[in-house]
Amino acid sequence: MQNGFKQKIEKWVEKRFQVDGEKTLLQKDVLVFIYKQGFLYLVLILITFIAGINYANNLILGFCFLISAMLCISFYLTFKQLHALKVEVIAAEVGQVGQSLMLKILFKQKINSARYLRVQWQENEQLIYFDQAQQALELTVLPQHRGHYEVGSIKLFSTYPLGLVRAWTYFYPKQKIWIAPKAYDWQKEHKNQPTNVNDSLDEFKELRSFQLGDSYQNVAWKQVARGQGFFIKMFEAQANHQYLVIDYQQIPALGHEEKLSFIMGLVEQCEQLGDDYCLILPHAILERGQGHAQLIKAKLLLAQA
Amino acid sequence: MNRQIYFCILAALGFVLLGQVAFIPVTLSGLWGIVWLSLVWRFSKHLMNPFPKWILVLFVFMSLALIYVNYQTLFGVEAGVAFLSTCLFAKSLESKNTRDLLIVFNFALFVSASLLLHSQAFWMAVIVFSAFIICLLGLYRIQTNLFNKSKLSSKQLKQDIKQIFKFVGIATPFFILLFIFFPRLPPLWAIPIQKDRATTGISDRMSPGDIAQLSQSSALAFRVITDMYQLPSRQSLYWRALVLDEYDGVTWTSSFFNQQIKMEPAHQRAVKYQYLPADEQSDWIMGLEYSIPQERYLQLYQDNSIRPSKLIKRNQPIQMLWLGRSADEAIPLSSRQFEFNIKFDHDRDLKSQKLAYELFEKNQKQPEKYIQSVLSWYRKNGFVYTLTPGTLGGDRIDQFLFSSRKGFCEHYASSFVMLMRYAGIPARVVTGYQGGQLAPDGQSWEVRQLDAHAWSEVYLNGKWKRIDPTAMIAPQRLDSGMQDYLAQDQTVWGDEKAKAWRLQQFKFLKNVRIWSDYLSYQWQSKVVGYDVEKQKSWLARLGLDSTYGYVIVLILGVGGVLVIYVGFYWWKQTNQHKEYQRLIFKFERSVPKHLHKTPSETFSVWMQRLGTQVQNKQVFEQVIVSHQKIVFLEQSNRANIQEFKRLLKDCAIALKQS
Repeated sequence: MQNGFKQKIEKWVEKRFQVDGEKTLLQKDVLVFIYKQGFLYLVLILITFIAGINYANNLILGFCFLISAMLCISFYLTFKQLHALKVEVIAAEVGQVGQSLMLKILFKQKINSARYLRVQWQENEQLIYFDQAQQALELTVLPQHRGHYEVGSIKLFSTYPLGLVRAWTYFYPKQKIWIAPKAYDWQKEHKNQPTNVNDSLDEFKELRSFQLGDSYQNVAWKQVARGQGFFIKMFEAQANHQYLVIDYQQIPALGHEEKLSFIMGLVEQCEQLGDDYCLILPHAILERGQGHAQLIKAKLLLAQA
Repeated sequence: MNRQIYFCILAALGFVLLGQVAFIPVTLSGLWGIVWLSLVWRFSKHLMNPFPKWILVLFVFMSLALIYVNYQTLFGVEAGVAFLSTCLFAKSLESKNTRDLLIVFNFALFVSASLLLHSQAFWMAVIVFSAFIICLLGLYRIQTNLFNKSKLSSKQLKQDIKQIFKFVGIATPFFILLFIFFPRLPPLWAIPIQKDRATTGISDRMSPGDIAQLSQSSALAFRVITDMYQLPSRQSLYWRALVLDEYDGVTWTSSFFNQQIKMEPAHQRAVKYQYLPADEQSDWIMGLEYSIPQERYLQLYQDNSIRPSKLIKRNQPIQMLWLGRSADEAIPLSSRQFEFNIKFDHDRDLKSQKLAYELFEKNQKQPEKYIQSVLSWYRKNGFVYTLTPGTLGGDRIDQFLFSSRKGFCEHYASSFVMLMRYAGIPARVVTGYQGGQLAPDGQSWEVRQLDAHAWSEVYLNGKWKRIDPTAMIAPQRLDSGMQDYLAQDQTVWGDEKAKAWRLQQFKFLKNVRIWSDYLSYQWQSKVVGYDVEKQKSWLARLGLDSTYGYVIVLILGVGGVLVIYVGFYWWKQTNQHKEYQRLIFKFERSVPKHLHKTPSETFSVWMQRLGTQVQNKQVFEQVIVSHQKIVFLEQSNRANIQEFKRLLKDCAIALKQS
């Protein structure tokens, strides 16, 4: 019962603090309450109040009022640390097991004021002092499992100026992050020399216009310099119509995960060699191609498999 | 541990120590002083690690032992504050992480508040406030140091303190509202008052010959608040403390006759006044002769002295009634009392006895005549009023009357009373204060320690009659008041060569004193003595009489301050934009949402987009030109702005019509 209640609250918080891309923190987004040592301070207020009354000592009572006023002001000042802050959470669409996944948080503010912020995500906490119009914070984590990655909550809080009060908010990024399988290391078995033919060869078969995702290594800079256009060199090796068909069914491995890992390894090798490849997976098929865009697509498919 | 934060600890400890030095035993302040200095020394050597345990235990043990030896307890107000301070020092000695520091600063806030139990004077308030600022600075630095670990520098300190003052400044209006309007509640439980050692200029004994040099303290003794026109002139202002009627040849003391409580019937013609003692715990209330107290805890005695029946520490003025000039009623003396008031040692001061006998005979044994002739005898025989009379030994009255002939009020009062007693006329010495001075603001009357005086009373026709022999010798003392008399008459200061210097010093100190007393009086009456009555009068001034008044005013006040803050914030925000920008914002708000400027658009692109919505694009083109003029050619004069405003208005109309 209690657990269910807790879950319900968590669900509600998650729904309430969901963020899609950019978010400006408004009054309703910022939570404020007394922080740990603030309770000590409250006790102090209480004691001085009693002492002031009992000894009919106006100055002690005045002192009590002064520290109470400071506590109230702390609420406002701490709240202002988060208020009107524009936060953008950017995450890579696809990560990979064993490689660090980066979550970028972009802070923006209209008026430059000093903010002392603390960000808590997963187990790690980062402090940032922010007094410019824009500042980025990068959080990294090592994903352990293939598939959908739960970003969970990112907690942004501040206890400035006196640590008596904490203002905080949560971010639950709406964006889904997929984690591709760890690549099986083919290099260990086949000691292939990395054939980095691209740079040395000036003889290319044809030029085609640049497409998004093409490697800059293959840009025909000569032509670009002459002002003929932004072209990509197509080499003999690439241009030949041989390409690798990676079929899930044909992979010599037992488990599902293992197969995916093999496929990932093959994909990476193709990318390294500059070969075209296509994927045939049980649930989807990836058309022939290569380059960064192709790799992302492949990773995404493998992550979702 | 961080050096910047450690500095705050040292400063806070320093203020706590400073605030207590005047109130705690020297041994204790010495011990703490040594500990503090060693902390400072370690700080200068970059040593900030906690002390070893055994030093800590030793320190706590020594402190507690000293407290116990001095106060015989660890509780109660004074010992309690000392005990708390010990804990604070000990905690500072052992603190090593952030959690310790947080405790130290919060605790230091508490200890500094408790310093106000010692004194509520202005200087103490300043010390406590400084400690408060330092503690906040410490808490602030704990927070900010997580972010940047900068070096200890005076610039950083200045900056941080500025921040703290900014925060305190924002909090101040709320503090003032709370202070003025927060209901003053009665004590929750009774609290023992410290046992005290009052120190006023008046004591319950007097031995004139012992004092070679009377030091003049211009410290305030008490203050009287009333309409001064209702009270007699300065010469007749005798503030009575107590009667001394027993003389053993050296010292005057007060007999048991004076210890009986006197009941005073209600009087018709009485003047009300308020009496505010400088020392709240003095043994006597120096009422104007003759006064009766209006407070239940004050008791009137047979000799017309007024004493508190129990020790109550309070900051409120005491309500008194002056019975007026004609209050001296006939008091029958019992035969024992009569005997007592003419008692003298027959074997002592024989020359004086002889003089009294001769003068009494000469005046046909008529007391009135005899008194006059004694007074004129003083006048004729070269008596001098001085504060440096030298000591007397042996037969003191004889020595004074026939050889030294130098003295102050006590010598005159004492010798005069004895001359009366030798002639069989009952007489006694009265001590108290005489005169005083108007406060700088003319609202109250100040009586200082140097106004302390002694005079005599003679029992004539069934009444005690006041006779002040000092008036014969130094009439200006009474006419112009002791302060001015001291400033004018240089012989008072004695024969030393340094007298001119001392006189200058006195004049200067006198002025400093008057002003500082005046300020502390204002502090006392306006801040420390702010009570339910004053609170009520405030509310009455605002037209609120009900008990809900406090709450209403408090809420309205806090709301008002908030509105002012929000208004100020908004004003600051809008002032950051130039006028043309504000016009653009206004325009944007007036058009439908899908026509709002998108972040990717410049002003001209936006206007062009809007222009496509209507047939008449001209006005949008004009607005772009006008905008360019203002922004890029920097021709933001009145006329251009006005034109821009008009064009934007036209645009809005055009959009509405489309």
